[in-house]
This record gives sequence, structure tokens and C-alpha cells, in this order.
Amino acid sequence: MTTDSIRGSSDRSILVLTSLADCPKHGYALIKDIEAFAGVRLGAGTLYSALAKLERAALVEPLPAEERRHPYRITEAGREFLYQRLTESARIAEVGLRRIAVAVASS
Amino acid sequence: MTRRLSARRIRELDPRLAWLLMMLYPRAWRARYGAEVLRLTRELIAAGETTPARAAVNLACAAVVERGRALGHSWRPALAMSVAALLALAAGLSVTSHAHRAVSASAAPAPASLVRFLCSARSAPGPRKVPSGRLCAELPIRCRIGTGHAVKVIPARPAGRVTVKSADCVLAAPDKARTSGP
Repeated sequence: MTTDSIRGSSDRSILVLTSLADCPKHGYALIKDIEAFAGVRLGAGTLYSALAKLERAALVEPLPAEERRHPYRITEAGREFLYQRLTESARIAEVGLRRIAVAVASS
Repeated sequence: MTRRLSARRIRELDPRLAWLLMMLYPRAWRARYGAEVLRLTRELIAAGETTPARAAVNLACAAVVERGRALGHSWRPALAMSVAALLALAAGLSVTSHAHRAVSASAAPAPASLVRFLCSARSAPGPRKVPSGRLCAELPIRCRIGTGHAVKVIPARPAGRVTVKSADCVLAAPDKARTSGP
């Protein structure tokens, strides 16, 4: 599993990485945080599917259990990957928004 | 109280279904994440964030994805596993909904047309004496025998609720009743 295979996957991995960008979180906190900032409610299976994929790609890593819950944290590689993906998305968003603005202004 | 108990049971993931769903995942994945994902599922259900049915569907779908990943690019085994997973899920949901129906049926007294006497599900409908005379109970038609569901005691007996045990069911079965008679 490499970052290339993550690249082709859905946005769930990006949502998880974004949630972990500031501090480690366990599963329940991840789901609540993603719901708060993205309006997307992930199921337990979906979340752990994404976490497993990210862990195989060494983009996140588990921390020792706290009260029988395993928090996960983003790795340095994960942070770099997230930065690249978000920069790319921001560039595409900027182009798209500019073109929409031009089209609206000319119509 | 029974109604509250039933409501609480419905707000939990059936352990048999949970086990079945975990079996859908590849062994390595199950060993690494199985306990965590089940704990999180229970937390979400307990917090009212999801329902057992929705959680089960989510786990089954994720299992299909993980199986597909484990099998790599070979699509035929992946398809076969997907079909098997969906069939297993359907069977599991059927078992769960049956159990929930039974719990609901025992929680609220069933209409007269929907009750038969103890163990009549195994025999012809109609009143039947329990040979030992220890128990005479009404059993909702959908209540499963031998699973410890609470049932109503018929008017001939003191009011209250009793629990049908599998031993009582065997005692009341028609063949046993005949053999135990004079």
C-alpha cells in the first residue's frame, strides 16, 4: 500500500487525515470531529477501513490504548501527504471559482 | 420494566450478528481492528448516533471492501465474496429482526387471536395442559420456545409473569404429554 493507492481513493482518507492534523484522536472523537467540520457521518466500519488503509500506507499510527480506546495520530509522511492534497485541491478550487466568477460576470 | 428491557435490547447490536459480521472480514484485519471496531459500534449505538441495522449494513459493506482489498485485483473471488457477504448479512438481519419481534411480542400482551398455549408452536393449536401442572402460560405466536422469553400466566393461574424454560416446553410437547399420561 502506497500513497498512490490512497490518492485514487475517496475523500474519506483526507477527512481522517484532516481530523488528525491537529492532535491524536480515537474512533469516536474522529467520527464526531469529521461530522462537525465536514458534515459527513462515517460509520465504524467505514472509519476503520480508512484507518487501516492509512496505517498500511504509514500515514497514521496507533498510540497506546487509553481507557481501552486506541487513539491514532498522523505521521510526518501523513502530514506531508495531506498538505500536498489540500494544496492541490485549493488550486483546483481557485481555478474553478475564478471561472465561475468570469462566466457570471459575462452573462 | 419488560418494555424498557426490550427497548434497551433493540438499542444493542446482537452479539450473534456482530460475530457474523466480524467473520466477513479478512482474518488479519479482524485480529487487528475487530475489537476496536465493535467497541466503537457499540459506543455509537449507545449514544444514539446510529441504529443497530445501520451499523450492521456499514460493517458488512466495509467488510466487502476489505475482502476486495485482500484479494487484490482478482475480481471474480471478490465478487463471490461480496455475494456471500450480502447473503450472510441478509441471514443475520433476518435472525436479528426475528429476535426483536419476539422480544416486542413478549413485551406487550398479544391479542387473543395471536396467542396459543404453551408449546403450541410445536403442535396443533388449542389449549393444552402441562402434565406436571407447574406452568400454564400463554405464549405469543411469534415467541420462540426455549429462549427465556417472559409470557403471561393464564387466568386460571395466579397473575404474574413467568419465564418459559426449554424443559417446560419439552414437558408440554404432545408426544411427551401422551407418554407421561396414564
